[in-house]
Amino acid sequence: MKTMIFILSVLLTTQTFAQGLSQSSRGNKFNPDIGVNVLSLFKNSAVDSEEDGLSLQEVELQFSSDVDAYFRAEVMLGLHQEHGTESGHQHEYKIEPEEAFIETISIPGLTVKVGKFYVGFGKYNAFHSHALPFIYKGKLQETMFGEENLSESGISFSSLVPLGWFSEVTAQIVQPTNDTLFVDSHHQPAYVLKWKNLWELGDSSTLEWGASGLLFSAHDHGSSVEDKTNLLGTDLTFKWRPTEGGKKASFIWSNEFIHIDRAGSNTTKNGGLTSFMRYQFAERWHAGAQYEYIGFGKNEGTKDTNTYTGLLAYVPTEFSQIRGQYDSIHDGSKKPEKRVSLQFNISIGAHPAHQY
Amino acid sequence: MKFLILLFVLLPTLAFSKVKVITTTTNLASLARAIGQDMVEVESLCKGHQDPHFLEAKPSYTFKLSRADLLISVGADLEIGWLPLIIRGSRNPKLREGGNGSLIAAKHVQMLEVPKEDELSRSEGDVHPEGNPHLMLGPSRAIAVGKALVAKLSAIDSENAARYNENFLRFEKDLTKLIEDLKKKLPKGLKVISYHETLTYFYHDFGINNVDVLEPKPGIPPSASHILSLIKKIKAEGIKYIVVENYFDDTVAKRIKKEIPEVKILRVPVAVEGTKEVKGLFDLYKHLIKGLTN
Repeated sequence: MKTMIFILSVLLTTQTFAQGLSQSSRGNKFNPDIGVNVLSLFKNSAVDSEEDGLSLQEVELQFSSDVDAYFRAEVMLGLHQEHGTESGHQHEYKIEPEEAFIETISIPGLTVKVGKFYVGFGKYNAFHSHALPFIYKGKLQETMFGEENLSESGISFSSLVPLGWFSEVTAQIVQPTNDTLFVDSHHQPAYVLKWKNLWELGDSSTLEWGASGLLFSAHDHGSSVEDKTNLLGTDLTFKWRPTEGGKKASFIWSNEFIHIDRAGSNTTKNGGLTSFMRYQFAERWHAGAQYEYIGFGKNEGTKDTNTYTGLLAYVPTEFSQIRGQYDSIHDGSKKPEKRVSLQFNISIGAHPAHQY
Repeated sequence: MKFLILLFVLLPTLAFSKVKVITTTTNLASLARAIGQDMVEVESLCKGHQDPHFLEAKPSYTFKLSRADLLISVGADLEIGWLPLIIRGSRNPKLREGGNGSLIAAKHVQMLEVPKEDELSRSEGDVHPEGNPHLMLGPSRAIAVGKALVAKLSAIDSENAARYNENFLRFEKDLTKLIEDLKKKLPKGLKVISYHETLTYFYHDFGINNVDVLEPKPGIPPSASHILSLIKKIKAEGIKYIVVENYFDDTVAKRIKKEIPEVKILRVPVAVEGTKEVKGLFDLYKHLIKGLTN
């Protein structure tokens, strides 16, 4: 009898346990998709020695899910090292929301997005670190938006234009906080407009052209100075991937131009161009070369910057890649900065589709 | 003159009345054409010689989806790397999963090779948690998807419901007969080795034994030690055919053939329009059997 009760009690517990497990795994279906990107870096530079050596370049935590029948949400948290922080501690880690927004999924023809998001200006501002074509953000992006992407809180409306090809218009109103672009203003928003077009040139190639503008002006009380920022940009990208043998060969030629005109308490005028080519020469290998020039329509006294970059990448699967890069940066200093970098980039968990 | 005006007014409405169907693969497009016939306008995003796992989320696809009435996809994560983005970008809510304009084939068939819980790891290669997604290569699965498609098309275009059903019944009858005929041509207990597990459903329907695959794990290229073990297996079991899907590399198969000259390498299309002569699903099944009986 005792044995009987013992067996029964053991069986009963296992059954409850199994039930609990299946219920919890069914419940997990409602958890957001979670992805983690880890970017490890080795860098050796002829000039900048503080950040040299091995480091954790960035960790990105990505969450996305439908909220309900009307909205979906996406959160991307970036964790990276801050060199020489205010608190005096060297190499402190900092976590910040790169993006956190909700957007509509149920309105035909229109997407409304609210929250903090990468501002829809130009082509490469929308790319997260793990998806960038090179190890670092381009010099042009850095000159215009600072070390991180232009990410602001605001509201965004986008829609397809009824033309015979892919044509999308995005209009955004954002609260300006980026100190490379704006003066602090709690009252005036910045307005952003972007028009993106893409044409198929046969089954293997596409041509993408976009134009963007950003407008900001603020009149401080008690001051006669009007702060203004006008940012204009255009981008052109050609992509080729043959339908037959497209796993082994592809080619990209991408160009972006941005010009800033900032007036008021801070006057900056400068413009720049990024142009890169990427050729995939085997199933798991590609090489890239980039040239950047900054110095179009600039203030007097601003020095030109010329940057040359070469990259070789080994991509075992869509979840891992190893990239080696050489940069030579001529920014008017006596000695150009030459640097060699090696990056190991992995993704675990859910990995949402990359934009084209 | 009046006739001309009438024609101009009527022509666009006639064209407009066709159900606009976008499919992810050419196999699904062929099925949609067989059942929809002149009542539908069908286009496939993936071409016949492209691997549907690795398409890119081209905005031009987004543009096509924005104008579609129905999106037929395979599901089971086959298109996960690109389709969610273009559905969202199309701003066409009816194409979302569960919407009136969405048909996901994998939801309507019994799936094969569904991995066990403890096999669900990326270290196992490109694992599909819901099972092998190449279901349209099995004619019996194609019939099951066809049945679901009739229901979908009839809901979108109820006026033509009877015609969709009629077309489906004809498709089912003809395909069932084709399966019977083709089965007769095949030798009993035929053993093959394939590159990737693409033809699982085809082999299942026709009773072909796929002894092993050249990829040690899905999506992982063959390693030297794995090739050696396969050479032993081919010799021991007297396997005659190495089947290589035409979007994969046949270098490894050729290396094996050097060791075992009597083995035949079959470079096969696994989708409609994968080669010139394969214009529809029936052609595809016939073509595959023809290769294995030569």
